[in-house]
Amino acid sequence: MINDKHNTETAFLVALRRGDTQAIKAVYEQAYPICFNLIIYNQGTKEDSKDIFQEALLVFIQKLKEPSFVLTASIKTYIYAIVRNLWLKHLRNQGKKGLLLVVDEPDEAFQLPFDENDTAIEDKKENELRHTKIEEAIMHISEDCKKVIMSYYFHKMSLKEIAEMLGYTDSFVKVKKKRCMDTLREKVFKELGKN
Amino acid sequence: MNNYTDDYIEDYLDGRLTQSEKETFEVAMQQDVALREEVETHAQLLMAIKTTGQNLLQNKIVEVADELEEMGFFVTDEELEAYIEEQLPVATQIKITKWASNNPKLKQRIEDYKILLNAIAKNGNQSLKKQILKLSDALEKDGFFDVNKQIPTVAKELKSPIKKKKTVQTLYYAIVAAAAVVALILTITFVDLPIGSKKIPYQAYFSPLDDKLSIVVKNELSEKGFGGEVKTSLEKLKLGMSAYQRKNYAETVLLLGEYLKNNPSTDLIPQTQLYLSIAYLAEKEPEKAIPLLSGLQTNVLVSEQKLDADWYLALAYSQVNKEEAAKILLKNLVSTEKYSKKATALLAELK
Repeated sequence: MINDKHNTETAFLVALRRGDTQAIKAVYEQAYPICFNLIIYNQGTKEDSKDIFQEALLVFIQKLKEPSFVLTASIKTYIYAIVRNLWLKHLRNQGKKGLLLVVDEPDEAFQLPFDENDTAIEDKKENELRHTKIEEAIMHISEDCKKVIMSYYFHKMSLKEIAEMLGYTDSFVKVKKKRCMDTLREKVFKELGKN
Repeated sequence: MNNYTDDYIEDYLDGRLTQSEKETFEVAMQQDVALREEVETHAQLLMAIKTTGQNLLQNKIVEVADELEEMGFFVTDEELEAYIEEQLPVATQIKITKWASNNPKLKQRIEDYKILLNAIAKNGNQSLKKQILKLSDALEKDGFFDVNKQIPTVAKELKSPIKKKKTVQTLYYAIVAAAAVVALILTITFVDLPIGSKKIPYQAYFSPLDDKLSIVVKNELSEKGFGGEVKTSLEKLKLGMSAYQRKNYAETVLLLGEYLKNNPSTDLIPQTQLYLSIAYLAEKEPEKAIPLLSGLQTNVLVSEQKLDADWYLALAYSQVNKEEAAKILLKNLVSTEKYSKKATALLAELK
């Protein structure tokens, strides 16, 4: 029984890491209501709660991808803590001092083991044009290659998992990954006007 | 050309090399421009892949949020309340209705909220009614309605000074105030009780009869294999009883009424009439329940249902100031096992 529960949770986390629609919906259903209350009771609006929750969800999923990250509390608790921190930061940025955050959840005391800013979306200001061109090149490679590259480098899936997902052998996926990266590099050089 | 594979470069970039491997590699990069450029390009590729992935993920989250929006997931309790009270702009009302038709959870939320609001309103009305009646009694004792007498008690109750001077103006205000209080009391009591009736705690006696008709309808539908209009009618009856089970009596009245109108002679008529009467009572329309229940006395019902009909008829009579008719039925019910206690209690109230 415990093994089944553990397996279900692990499968859910894997799905969430991969940005699975149903997994994201499930997180909304679990965690959104209390996050909404936190923001509404603390000078926020419905639109604020939707925006902050999306940001928190992005931070959380990014964090899940890190190999060293270990989940020590429920997803709801984590998301709530991220939302709380993001909202506090938002209020401080608006110059509101001496804030008393009204909360009604026992999870309020949970302290995040990381700074939500660690996983903020990479600052593209530096070399923005170069980055944009590379991103465009990624979007224009074949679907197969996109799947392999995104699964390996972004979703942090192992070659074995990618092979299972795509119905290939492990060795084929390894070769495929190399070929796709070579193709991508060629395209990038072309975009950037290099030999 | 260098001997370092993409995997090795990635291990370096991700910090997976040992300290000595890292140092050796960095020396190699310093000495080999092409290697350095390859590592730099690879780093940028990985960065761009990460950013692309983040953007795709963000888009996915927004997509899910939009989907949830179209299911009414983000509708707040305040919006629900305003929706039920029909205080939202028309376009928003229509939107929420559409979402509810596609999302059973939202539909259930709306139903639950309606029940809650109704219960609060009933509770509030009852409290207010008690307060008004108490005040009215106090006014009566103090002769407030008799304009020739002084009214010190009321002055104390209302915590406001009332002049004892008997001027024409004071008399005028007293008459107007008395008329207003009486009108207010009659308005409140009219909501729950017919005008001029005694203070029968109706809510304490009324409870809907268990639904025994649905199973009969279900059997009729499945076993006899009706088709066409007969089947449509039975489906309507089934829906009506489903509404009855959910305590949605307005809907019950509509559907059962339609069934009776379109099927004047079937075996299910007496039972349908019984449940329709109960729905009318629940909707505080005893005057509509009475003809149906009276008609049932001569129809063929099982004996237990005849007792049920007598009980509800007695309740209906008690609500329309026909206490004598109610008492006759209640006296018979006192000797029955099912209604002995309730009939005895109600009879005592009516005496």
